[in-house]
Amino acid sequence: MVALTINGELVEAKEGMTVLEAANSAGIGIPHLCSEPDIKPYGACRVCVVEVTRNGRSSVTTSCDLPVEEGMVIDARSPAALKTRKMMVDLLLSRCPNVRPLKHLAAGLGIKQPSFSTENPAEDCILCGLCVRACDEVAQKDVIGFVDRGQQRKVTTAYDQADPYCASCGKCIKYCPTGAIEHVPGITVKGLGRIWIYLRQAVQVGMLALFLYLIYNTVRGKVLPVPANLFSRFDPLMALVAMIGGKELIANMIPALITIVVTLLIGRVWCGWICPLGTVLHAYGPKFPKLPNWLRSIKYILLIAFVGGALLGVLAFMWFDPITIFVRPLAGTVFPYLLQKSAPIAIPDGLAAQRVAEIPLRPLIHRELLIPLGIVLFLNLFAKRFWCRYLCPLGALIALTSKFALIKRYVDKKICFEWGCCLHSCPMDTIAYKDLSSDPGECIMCMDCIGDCPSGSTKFGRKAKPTWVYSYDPSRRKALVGVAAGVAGAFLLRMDAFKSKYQYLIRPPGAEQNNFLSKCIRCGQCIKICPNNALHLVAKEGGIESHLTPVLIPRTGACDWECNSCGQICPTQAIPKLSLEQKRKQQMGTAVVNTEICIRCLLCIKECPVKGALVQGTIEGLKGKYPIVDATKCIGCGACEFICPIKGEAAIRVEAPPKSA
Amino acid sequence: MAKLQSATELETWRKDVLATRDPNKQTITICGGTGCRALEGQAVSDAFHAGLAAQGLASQVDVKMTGCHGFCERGPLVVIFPQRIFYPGVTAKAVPDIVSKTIAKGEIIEKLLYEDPATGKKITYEYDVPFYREQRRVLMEDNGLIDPTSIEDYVAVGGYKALAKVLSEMTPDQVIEEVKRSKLRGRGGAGFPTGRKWEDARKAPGDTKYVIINADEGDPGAYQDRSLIEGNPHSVLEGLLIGAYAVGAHRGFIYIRNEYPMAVQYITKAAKDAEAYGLLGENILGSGFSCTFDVHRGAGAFVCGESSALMRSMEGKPGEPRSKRIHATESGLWDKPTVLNNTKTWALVPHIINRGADWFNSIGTEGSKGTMVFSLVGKVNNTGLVEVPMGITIRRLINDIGGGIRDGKKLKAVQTGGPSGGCIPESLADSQVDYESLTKVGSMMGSGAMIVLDEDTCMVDTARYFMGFNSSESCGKCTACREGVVRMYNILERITHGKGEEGDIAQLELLGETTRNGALCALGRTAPNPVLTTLRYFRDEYEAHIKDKKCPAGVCKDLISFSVLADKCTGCGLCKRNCPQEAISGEKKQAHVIDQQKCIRCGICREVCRFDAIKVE
Repeated sequence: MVALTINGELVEAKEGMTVLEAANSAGIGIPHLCSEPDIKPYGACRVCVVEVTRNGRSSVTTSCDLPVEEGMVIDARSPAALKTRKMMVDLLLSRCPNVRPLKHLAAGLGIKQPSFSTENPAEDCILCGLCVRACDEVAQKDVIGFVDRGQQRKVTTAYDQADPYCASCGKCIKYCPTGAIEHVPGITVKGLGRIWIYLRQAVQVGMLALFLYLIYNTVRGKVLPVPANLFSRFDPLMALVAMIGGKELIANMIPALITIVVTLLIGRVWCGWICPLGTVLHAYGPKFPKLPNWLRSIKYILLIAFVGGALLGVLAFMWFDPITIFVRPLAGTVFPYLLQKSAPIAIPDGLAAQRVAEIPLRPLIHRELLIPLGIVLFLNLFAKRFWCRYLCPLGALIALTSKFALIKRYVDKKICFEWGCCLHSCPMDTIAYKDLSSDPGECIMCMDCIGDCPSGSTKFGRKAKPTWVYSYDPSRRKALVGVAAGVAGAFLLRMDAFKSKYQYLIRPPGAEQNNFLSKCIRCGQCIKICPNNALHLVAKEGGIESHLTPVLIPRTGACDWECNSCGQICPTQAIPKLSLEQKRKQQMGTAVVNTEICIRCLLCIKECPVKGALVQGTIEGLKGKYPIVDATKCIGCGACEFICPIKGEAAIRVEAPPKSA
Repeated sequence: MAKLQSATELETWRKDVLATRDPNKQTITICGGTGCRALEGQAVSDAFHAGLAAQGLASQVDVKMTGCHGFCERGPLVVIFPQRIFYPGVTAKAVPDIVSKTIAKGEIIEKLLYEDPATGKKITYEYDVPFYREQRRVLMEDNGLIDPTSIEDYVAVGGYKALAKVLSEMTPDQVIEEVKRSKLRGRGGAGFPTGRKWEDARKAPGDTKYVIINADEGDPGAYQDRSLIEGNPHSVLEGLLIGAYAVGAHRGFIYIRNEYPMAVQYITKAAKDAEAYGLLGENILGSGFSCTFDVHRGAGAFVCGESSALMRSMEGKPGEPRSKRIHATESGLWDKPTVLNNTKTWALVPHIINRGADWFNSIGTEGSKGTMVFSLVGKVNNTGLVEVPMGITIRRLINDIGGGIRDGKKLKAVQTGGPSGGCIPESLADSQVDYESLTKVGSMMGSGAMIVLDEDTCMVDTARYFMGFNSSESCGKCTACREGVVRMYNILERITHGKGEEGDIAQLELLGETTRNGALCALGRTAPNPVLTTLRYFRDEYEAHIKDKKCPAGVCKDLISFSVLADKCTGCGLCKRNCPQEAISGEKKQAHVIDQQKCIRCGICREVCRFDAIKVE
C-alpha cells in the first residue's frame, strides 16, 4: 500500500494504481473525461489535471496516467490545476458548444459561455478516444481509429467505409460520453437513462390526468373504476393526522400505508412520480435559487407542528396538504365555474314556488379557494418545486421515511467522470457539489440525474448508506419548536375565545356526532360531490378552527333526502359512511321559523321530507297558520329554508346544533 | 571483400587503404550537399571530370563529391586539396579556368576567391575564411573530406576505430561510464544525459532491446541531421553500433524522413557496405556482438520526431505521443527497452570514444559539453551549417560566423529551437548558447535551428507563423495542443489583420500558460513558446497592433500603407514598372505617387527602390 495526500486527505492506495483511481476509491472526485476504469489511460482530454508535489517540486499534470507514489501530495483544486482544467473544458466546449454533459461540466467550473466560436456548433465528438480504445481493448476489433491530425483529426473507419469486420457490438456507443456515435436513431446506449425520464414523465402526466378525471367525476351516483378519493386515501399525512386527531383507526385510509411501504422500498417516488401538484411544479421554475438550504427544514417543522396539533385533536392546518391545496380550488372554484358556464343559472332568491327537484344545480364559485394554490404556483417562480423543497408537510413525512429507503441514489465513483451533470440536472438541488452525493430525504427519485449521466455512474440501488448529515435536516431544537408551535396553536384554538359563536354552522349529515373537526382534512371533495350544491367550505364564519371545513348552506341547496354521497366520498370518514336510512336520521340542525317575516305560504311544509317534522299550526298571539317545527323530528336538511320564497334571508332557517335534546 | 574478423584486420585494411592514397595528390572536392546540388553542383562536378579528361589530367587528380561543407550561402563550394584552395559559388562555366590555371599551373584565380564582406579582402584558403575559422568542427569535420558513399574514405579518416576499440577493449559498462563521464547530452533538444539513458536501458530487464537514430528532422529551417547523414553516414552508424553494444541491443533502426531521399540512399548504402565488411550484422569484427540495422522512413509528420510518437509510428500505429510516466528505456518500441537518440548525439559517440571523455569535457560550458551544430538561417549574411562549442554567445555566432545581418540592418531577435523555441531579443544576444541559458531566456536548444530576424520582422507575424506551423502539425491527441494552439493562432491572425481586441494579450497568456501545463507531450508543452517569448520581449509590438492598429515593422498588410517620400524619389520609375497592380503613377524624374485604393501592400516597390524612397507605416 502507498500513502499519499489528495486534496488534503490522507489516502491509502494500492501499488500500481493511478492517482485518479486512488482518488476515486477514496471517494474524492476529480473530473475526467477520457478515462474509464476498464480501458487503459490515454491522457487526451487533460481535464483531470492536478497539481502534484513531489520532493518539494510541484507541477500540473494529468492524474489519469500518474502512478501513485509514497508521500505524493495531490491537489486537484489548486489554482493552477483549476485554471488549466477550466481552460481545457472551455476549449472543448468551444469545439462542441451543444454537448449537454460538457455544458454541465463547464457550468460546474464557472464557464458561462465558451470563450471561442466554432464554425460547426453541431460538432459532438470531443476526440476523447474512448470509442477507439473500446473497439481496440474491449471489443478487440480495431475497426475504428483516428484519422488525420490537428484540427482535422476525426474518428472513423478505414477509408470512411463500412468495415465488414465491425461486429456492431456497440461498445463504441456504450463508451461514448457525448452520444456522438449513434446507429440506433434517437436512442444511444448511454441515453438509456433518458428512458427513465420519459417513463416518469408519462407516469406523472397519467397521474395528473387521473387526478383531474377523478375530481371532475366526483358526482353522486357515478360509478368510477377507482374510488374518486383515491389520491387522498393514499396520502399518508392525511391518514396520520386524521387518525391521531380522531384517535381511531380509519379503515378508509389504509391505502396510505402502501405509500409508506413503497417509500421505504424505493424512496420519495410519491413526490417525483405521483403527486399531481408535484407534477405541475416540476414543469417550471429555476433549479438553483440563491436560497439558504436551512429553509428546507421549514417543512419538517410544519409537519411536527401539525402532528403536535393533531395530538390535541386540532386539524386546523390540514388545508396545507398538497392534495387538499389542489383539490379545493378544483372542487370549489374551477368545476363550479365550468358548470356555470355550461348552464348559467341565477340563484333563486325568492322565486315562485317550485319543487326542489325541479330546480337545477346552482354552482357557487369560491374564488378565495384559489389563493393557496396561487401562492404555491407563484413561489415556484423563485425555485423549481419551491413547495416540495421548503414547505410541503407531506413531503417532509415522506422524506423522513425515505431516509430509510432500501433503494437510494448513489454515484459509482469508480466510473464517474466528475462532470457534475447530475448536479445540474437535479430539480431539487440536493446533489452535493463536494462529492455528488444526495440526501435521500430530498431526492424525489425523478431520475433526471440518471438521464443526464454520461458515464452511467449515477445508480439507484441498495449500496447507498442512510445520511443524516444535511444541514437542512431538522435539528432537535427545530423539532421541539415544531411540537411547541403545534401544541400552542391547538390550545389557542381550543380556547372558547377562538370558538365560533356562529349558529349556522350546519355540518354534513352525521359529522357533528363524529368528532368531525378532529378528522376533517379540509379537502373539499364533499362539496364537489354534493348534488345540490348545498355544502360549502367556510372561510371565516367558523373561526380558524373550522377554516375550510364543509358546512351546509340551505339557501344554495338543501341536503338531498335521496343522497348520502358526502359520507361516501370523505376520505377520512369525518363525514361518516352511512346508509340512506341511517343518514336520514342524522340531525344536522333544527329549523326555526321567523314569524316576523313569514308570509305563511306554507311551501316549506310541502317540501319537508320528514313526516311530521313541519306541520301547520297556530302560534299564540299570532293570527293565521304558521309552519311549526318538531325539533325531535327535524333533521335540519334545509329543504324548507331553500324553498322559502322570501327574498334574502329565509323566514325559516336551520340552526345548529340540533335542538332535539 | 571478406568480412573483417578482428580489430587488427580493420587496422590492416585501413593501412592498405591509406597506402593507396597519396596525401599530396591533388583532389578537387565539390560540395554535394543538398544546397549545393540545388545550385547545380552536379553540373560543376561533371564539368571538372570533362575538363580534367580534356587536359589529360584525369589520372593525376581526384574529383570528389563530398557531403555538405556548411557554407550553403555561397554554394556550390569547391575546395582543392592539398592546399585547401577555396572557390565559392563556382559555376560550370568557371570550371575550365580552374582546371587550366589552378590545377594545371597552381595559379590562384583571384576573381573566384571569397571576399570577406567585412574587410573586403580576398581569402585564398578555406581555413582562413571567417565562417570556418571561428567554428569548432567535430561532427562536420570530415564532411568536406570524404565521399559519403565510400566506406574506404571513412575508414581512411579513422572510421570504425572507435567501434573496434569498444568491441575489443571495453566492456559495455566501461562504454557507458565513458559516455557518462563525457557529460554528453541529447542533441535533439531536451538535453537528457545520454550516458544515463544508456545506463537505464542497460539495466532494464529483458534480452530484446532496441537502439534508434532519430533523423526525423522537422523544424523549419533545420537540416543538420540531413547534412550529417548525407555527408558522413558511417559516423552515425558507428555511433549507433557503439550504443547498441553498450546497452545490449541487437537491433538498430534509423527513423528518417522520406523527404530526405539522398540521406535515405546514403545511409542504406552505408549499412550495406558496413555489413559487407563485417562491421554490421552477425559477429561484428569477430567480437561475437551482433546487431542488425534497418531504415524506417517517416511519412512527414512533425510530431513523429517526438520519441514516443516516433516509436508508435514505427510500430505501424498513428504517430501520437503517449505520456512518459514510463521511460522508453524501460518500455519503448514494441514495449521493449529502447534508446532513441538524435543523429548528432549518435555521431558524437565515436569521437568521444576515440578522443576520450576528457577531451569532450574540455569543450563547452559547465552544464553543456561538446559542440553543437546549428543551422544558421534567416536574415544573416552567411547562412549555413555551423558547428560551435557550447557556450558561444549568440552575438558572436551571428556576427563572427554569420557575417552579421544582411543589408546592414539591425538584429532584432533570434528564434532558436524551431517552432517550439522562443524568440530571443537583441538585448539578450550576449547570452550563451547552451541548454541552461537558452531555457532561462524562455527558448530552448531544440535540434539547433537558429533563425535570425532583422528589424523588418514583425514579431507578432513571426509568432503567428510558428503557431500556424504548430497547430497544423499538432497530432490532435490532447485537448491542450489541438484546441489551444489553434485558438492562439486564430487570435494572432486576428491581431495581424488589425482586428485585435482588448484582452487578446491576456487571453494569449492564459492559453499559453494552460497549454504549457496541460499538454501531453513536450511538443505541446513548448508549442506556446513563440507567443510567450514574443509577448515577454516584444509586448509593445502586440499593443501597437491591437490598440493603434499599426504594425511597427511594416509587415502586416492590413495595418500598413506604402507611400513615396517625395524628397527621396528620383522618379526612376522602377517601382512603377514592378508594381503588379499598376498602383504607382508619376512622370519620369518626378516624384511618384501610390494609389492606396489599388495598392495591395505587397512591398515590391519598397524592395526594388534603390533610394529608400518608399515609406511604410
